[in-house]
Amino acid sequence: MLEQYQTNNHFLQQVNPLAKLIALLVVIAAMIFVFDPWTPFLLWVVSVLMLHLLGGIPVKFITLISIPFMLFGLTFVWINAVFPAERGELILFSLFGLPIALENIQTGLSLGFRSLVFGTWSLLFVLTTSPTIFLHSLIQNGKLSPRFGYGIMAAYRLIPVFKNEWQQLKLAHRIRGLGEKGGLIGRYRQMKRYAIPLLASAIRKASRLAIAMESKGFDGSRNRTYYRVIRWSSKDAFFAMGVSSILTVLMISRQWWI
Amino acid sequence: MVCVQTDHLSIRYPTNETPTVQDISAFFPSNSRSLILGPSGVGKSTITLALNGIIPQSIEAEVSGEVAVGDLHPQHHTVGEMSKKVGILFQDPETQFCMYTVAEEVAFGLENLQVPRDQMDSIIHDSLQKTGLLHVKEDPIHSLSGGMKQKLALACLMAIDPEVLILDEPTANLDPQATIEVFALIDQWGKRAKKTMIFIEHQLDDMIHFIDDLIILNKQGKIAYTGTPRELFQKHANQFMSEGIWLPKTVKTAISLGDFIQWDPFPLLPAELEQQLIKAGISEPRIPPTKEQPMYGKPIIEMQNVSYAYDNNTNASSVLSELTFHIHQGEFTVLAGANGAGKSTIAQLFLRAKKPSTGIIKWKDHPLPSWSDHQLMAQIGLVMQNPESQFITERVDEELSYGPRQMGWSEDKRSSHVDQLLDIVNLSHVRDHNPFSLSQGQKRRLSVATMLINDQELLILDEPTFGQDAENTEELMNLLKSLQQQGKTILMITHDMGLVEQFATHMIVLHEGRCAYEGNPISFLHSPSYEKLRAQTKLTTPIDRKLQQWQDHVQQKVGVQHA
Repeated sequence: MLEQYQTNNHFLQQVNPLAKLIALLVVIAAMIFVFDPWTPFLLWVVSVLMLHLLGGIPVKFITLISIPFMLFGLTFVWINAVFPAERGELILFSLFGLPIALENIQTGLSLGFRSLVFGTWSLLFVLTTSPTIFLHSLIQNGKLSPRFGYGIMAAYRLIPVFKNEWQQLKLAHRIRGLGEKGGLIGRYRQMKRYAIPLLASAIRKASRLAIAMESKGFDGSRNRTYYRVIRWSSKDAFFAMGVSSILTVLMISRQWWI
Repeated sequence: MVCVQTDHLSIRYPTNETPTVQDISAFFPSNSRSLILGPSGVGKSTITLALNGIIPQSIEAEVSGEVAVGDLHPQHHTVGEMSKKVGILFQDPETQFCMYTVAEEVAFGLENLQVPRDQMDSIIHDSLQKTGLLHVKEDPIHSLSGGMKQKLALACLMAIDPEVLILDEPTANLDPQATIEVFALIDQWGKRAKKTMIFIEHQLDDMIHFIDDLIILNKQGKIAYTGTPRELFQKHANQFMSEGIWLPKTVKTAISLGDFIQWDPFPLLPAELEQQLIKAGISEPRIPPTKEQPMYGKPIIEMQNVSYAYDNNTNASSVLSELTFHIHQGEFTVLAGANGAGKSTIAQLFLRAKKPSTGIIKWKDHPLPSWSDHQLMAQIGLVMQNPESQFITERVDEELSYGPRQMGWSEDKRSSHVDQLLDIVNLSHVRDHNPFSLSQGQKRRLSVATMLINDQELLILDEPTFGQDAENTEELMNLLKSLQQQGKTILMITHDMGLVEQFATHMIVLHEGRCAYEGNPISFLHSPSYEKLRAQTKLTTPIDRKLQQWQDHVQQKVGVQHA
């Protein structure tokens, strides 16, 4: 599912992962001093549209995967309305005897939409960036040492192998009469039993893999060429311009309503 | 064109007191194929890692003596420089790759050697074409079968194009058909590109015919003999056997017929042996009719129209469809089929780790769901491919007393039972060791023993001989045979048709999720009417029976003449 979105060929998937990462940080920074509900709301709408139109992610999927962020956002509204740091003056109604002020609801909505914006932008990064390309980009465009970059890629490749091994282990232990134990202590003992064989195999696999990589001439240095080159392209410039004009327009026009 | 030479090479790891290999002086001429042969654990792989400098540069070890690869000295050149000279094909297909797709993996070696990017595509295309992997160029590596992964590892080496190739048991984890294919690729490439090749191998039947030189190591890690395979096997075969070195099957037969015929040249392949025997006036043995159908006991497991599909399998191809077969009490049953035919799934269905989509599985006339987990586990044992996954304690003897303790046996009864088992699987001398510290063969025997403790009636073994050397395999098979003679039912999943022929009394062959054959193993393996099915399921007829027949035939004939 994830992989299918990460590798489809829409605009956002072709943007350099580092550009997306920087844009994510800029958006977070821009939202820090915003406390009205409309600005983050509009930005959220625009972000979802981007994700759908430029990233090819269905709105239904975005909605479903955003539910946790929405719940998180609602708690902001609730906390600010019921337990504000400083109660507002325009009391709308009272709930269980607590007066609820418009200003506090507005602050809560602002913070709630802000968390939705952060969530959506994180999704934008995760759903349109394949981990391999992200690592290539960190090595080639960023300053990540190939020693770590290729190491992480190799480890990423082993995840399905370990998942399979863990399932085998669970079955093997069940056969020997060790069922899934409840309770904290049972859980802890079970973890301990699984840990030793899994670690033993992980260490063995890691050292074999290291030997194999070295025998193909990998020395971890930057003296290497790249088959899959991650370049900065005009798409990255478009992306950067797009994101900054959205933010600029939003920041200027919000003067009208605050 | 490069030759490899070692001069009084000794290697000692910091954790060991004695050197792993000692005083190795060997010469590997350019464009030759050498085979290093020796008992398990004498440091054959250690030598190869010294040839490309990984020892001592990445793996710490004390190295004395000299190594030269052409004009390079691996001890003094960087790993990058050495990788252009010496390439290694390793045993484990899972741990040779670090990239996501096939093409990226082939490119990885080229990137390391700083090959310009515009040259990469043609090199990658070329090496994938030669290994027959062009159609999976953009596929993720984890979707490939074990055989294809080893071909990919070979393609990576072809791209780097080193002058010396080291092949460290490249087919130990592969099925017989893939083994033949991989060796054929290696042979072709070596011939075409005139590589210097150094092999390490236990299973010699599929490759000994293209070996030029043999280097035999003894248990102390010293060179015992060097020479051509024909010469050394003819002179010293019996001694090799007593050292725990596995001989090609043809060689064994030839040695046992040594009194009746003067071999010239000494045969390494069945065809060579047959040719010389026919020349000596001995007619080809008629294959006697297959064994009579044995009288089966009552079925212990019945599979009736069982289908199974993975829940998340979106392409909706079911792994098993409408499967019906029986496993009878006291039989040695083998479950065979091509990779991915669903053999391991069946074992998991029996243990209720998976539930069939449709159909009924009966254990002793009662449907599987009517048994409790506890009852079932006490009667069915599963020995898994990786023995380590079954260990749960920190001592060998505790491992064996764990089951009885759970069943509430008394202290005395437990300890005598454990002693007895340790004796059966020959592990008494390591009873206080940690199971993880045992050798491969010991781990395997312990994992079988843990399953015997509950007096299980059915023992299921999932590829128990995979990656095991010949000696361990033989010990395990003898153990299983004696268990069968004591009345236990054995179900073994295996690719090794030599073992099937020798030990199995009943055989079930899976093809495309269905039961394609159920019955006598000998008829399946030898009858011409199953030739097509054998090809489809990639199960090749082993040479053992043919050789045995020749042997009996010759001995009989000569016996008659003497009388």
